Amino acid sequence: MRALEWIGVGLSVWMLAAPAFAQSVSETEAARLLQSPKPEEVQQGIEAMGLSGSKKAVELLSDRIRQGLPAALLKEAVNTLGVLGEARAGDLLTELLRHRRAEIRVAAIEAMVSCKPPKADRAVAERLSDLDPRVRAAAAAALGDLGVRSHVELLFRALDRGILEAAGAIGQLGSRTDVEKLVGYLQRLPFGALMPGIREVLVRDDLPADFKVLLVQRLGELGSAEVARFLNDEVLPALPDDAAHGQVRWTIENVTARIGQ
Amino acid sequence: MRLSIECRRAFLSLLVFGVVAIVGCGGVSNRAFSPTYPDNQSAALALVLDRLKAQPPSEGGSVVVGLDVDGQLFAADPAAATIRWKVPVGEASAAPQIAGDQVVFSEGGEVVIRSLKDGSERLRRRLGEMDWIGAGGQGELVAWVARRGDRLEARSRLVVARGDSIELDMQVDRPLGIPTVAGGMVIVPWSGQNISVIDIEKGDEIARLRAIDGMIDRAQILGADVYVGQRGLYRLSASMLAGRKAEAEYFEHRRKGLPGNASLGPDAYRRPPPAAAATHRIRASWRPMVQDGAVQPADETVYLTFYRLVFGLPTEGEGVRWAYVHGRDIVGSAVVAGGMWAIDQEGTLLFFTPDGQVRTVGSLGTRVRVAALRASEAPAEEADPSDGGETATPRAKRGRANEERDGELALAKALKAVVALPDARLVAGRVFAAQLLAGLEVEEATVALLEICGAKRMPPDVRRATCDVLSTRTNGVEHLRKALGNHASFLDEVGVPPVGALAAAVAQQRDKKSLPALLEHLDDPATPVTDLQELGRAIASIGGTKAYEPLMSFLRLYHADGDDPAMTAALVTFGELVIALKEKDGRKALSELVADAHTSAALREKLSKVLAASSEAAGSAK
Repeated sequence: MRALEWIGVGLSVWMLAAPAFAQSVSETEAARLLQSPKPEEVQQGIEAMGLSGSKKAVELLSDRIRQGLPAALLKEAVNTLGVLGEARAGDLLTELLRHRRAEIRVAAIEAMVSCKPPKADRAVAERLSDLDPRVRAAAAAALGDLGVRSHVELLFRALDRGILEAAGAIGQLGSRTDVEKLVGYLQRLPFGALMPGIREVLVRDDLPADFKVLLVQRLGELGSAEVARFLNDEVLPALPDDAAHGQVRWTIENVTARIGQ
Repeated sequence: MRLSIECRRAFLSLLVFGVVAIVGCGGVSNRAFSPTYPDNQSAALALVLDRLKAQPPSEGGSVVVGLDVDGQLFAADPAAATIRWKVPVGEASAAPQIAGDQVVFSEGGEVVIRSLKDGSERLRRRLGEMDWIGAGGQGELVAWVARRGDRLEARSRLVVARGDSIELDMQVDRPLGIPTVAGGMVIVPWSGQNISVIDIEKGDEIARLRAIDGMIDRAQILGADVYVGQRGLYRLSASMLAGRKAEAEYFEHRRKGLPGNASLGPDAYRRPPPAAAATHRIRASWRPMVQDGAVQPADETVYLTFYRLVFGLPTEGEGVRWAYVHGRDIVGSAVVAGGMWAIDQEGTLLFFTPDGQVRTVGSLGTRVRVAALRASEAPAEEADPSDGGETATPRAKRGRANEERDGELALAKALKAVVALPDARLVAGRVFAAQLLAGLEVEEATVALLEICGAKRMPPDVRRATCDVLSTRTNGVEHLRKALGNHASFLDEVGVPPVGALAAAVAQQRDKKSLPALLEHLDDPATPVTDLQELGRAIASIGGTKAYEPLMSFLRLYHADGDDPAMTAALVTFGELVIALKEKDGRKALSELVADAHTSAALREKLSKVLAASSEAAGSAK
């Protein structure tokens, strides 16, 4: 979810900030700008492509990326592919997952989540073995967002190797058994590292409420102010507003009150 | 100004004395070490050789002298492994030396001569501001040199003692090397190329030799001959008259790149290394033997000791006969016909045969810091096989294929064990072993090099040396290809493989099946940027025109990426390769990149040069 949220926020901010002319240039003009020798014009071309919604935007951007761009413009172009969110960008994004610059690999992972091309999960999962920690973290988070449950075992391996972002993804994807296994990590990892995963578990609507109640009670046994703050500030506002989660809500209130005493 | 009668008389007397001195000496001063003394005179040398013939040099009996870790000087009988005597001594400034029937040692600013027989002190002299350089001798006679400074600024003192009396004591403004005594003469190397032979009784120089193309810093008696030299040894004989190595009875182990620049001993024209210096544990030793009028190492073997590593090397070429890892450092050694005596830090006496057998002769039961050994023959056969070493691998004799292969296999295993030793002091020895491994023909050597090249925990120097020689292999390509299939993985805890070295190795063997694996590495961000050039060359070499597109795509994708020098270097190489693969297409594509305003400045400049060079080459071809 986070990658999509970020792209959404990014797009909103970008649309507000983008020069007015970028929203009005024609596809032909945008294509010309992409080929400009001036970096600022290439930037405008990329922005215009993102806003145009043109069917050719993905192809034009992909071609321009393959022709070679300075790193900053390349990142911008990859982000734009993510904004366009078309699966057709998958081949290029898969190639860029192996770009020599880590920040481009991270951008390509995030764009993959948005574009969801076929086999995106497999390509992203490979990046859990990347030598750059930023890429590994992005890949772990992206696997949660891509929603392919078959990668949970791999995510546990990642968590074992210290990729803490895997906890969030496990929380998003894991079965009840996986979640119990994740909670077992409380014995060896700080609560803060597992918080994103546990939050995901508690706000999911595909896990039974009684299981969540037991989980909250177990967290309550930790008795720390950090747990109380987490349940109050992070979980309660995000809980589904339905009857099934009433019991979860009530348990959280009880647990936090007890910790407060 | 008028001179007084007394002054005139004095001046006249000096003039007459000078004329008489010149005429009386036939124009030559008889003063030792005079710069005008004639060298390489056959009559003078014949006189010296006659005296040596009449009183043949004698090396003396087998003995080991050393300094133990408690600061005691000792002498021991190596064959019986028994200590003769042990005495506490002052602070050592250098390692002890054996000279005839004495041991000469520098302690507390004095030179002290003791009897090898019982340790009794014969003579003690203060060194003043000088350093003790070295000693040699025969029987009761000992010659030693002390020196202040080296080369041009040196001042030296030469002393010859017999028992407790001084026979000769002179100071000269020359850098003297290590002398020896034979036939009532002291033979003294000096100023790098000269040898003065001085009659001990008269104190006169009676002959001088000069080596025109070699360095001489020591004289020593070995067997029944006197040898002089530094990196190589000349037998003192009429063959030295020409002053050239080629005409002399001379041998020099010319092999380069030995670990620690191992040689016969430290340069005697420099300050002597302290007793505890590591240099005493590094030697390339051999015993000169005269065969058919030529000096050759006994058993055609040079013994290289490097801390606890021992290698048996051939006298010529770059090979190795055997390698041995001892449990402790070798602190002293002496080569004889039939092998090498050695003593380790724990006082264990060992004997290495030319074919790599190692025997423990016995233990002195004392921990030794540094030792000097003198021996003239191999120990009796009943000595035990060594129990202190890790590997000993005789290489089979040539002529029997199976035996030779078995020998090479064992040698590959032993050398690999040397390279893998977890001892940081041994890095240079481990690098040397890796280079020796590359010289073996068996496929197992390729596999061993491959493992070492890919081992992340190896010291960088060892790994680099091993990876460098990997590309010289001509077999084991399946293993190389398999290794190329590995990629760095954080989850699997696999490090970055040595892509550049592997690429060069498969390219050397023209293995077309490796192309897909090479392209995978081109596409892998974990491939170190420093390996890209080698990788690109291998892809071009193996893939031919098929390599054009992947190399050009890479070049395009990264041509505007920045000015990282390593990346720029790789891209320039790729530029050269694409032109070499498809000249017309390559030139066109490169011209576009040069014209692209986004191309990084450094790359544009270098690609322009590539294009210009290509145009020039095309022009000359026409």
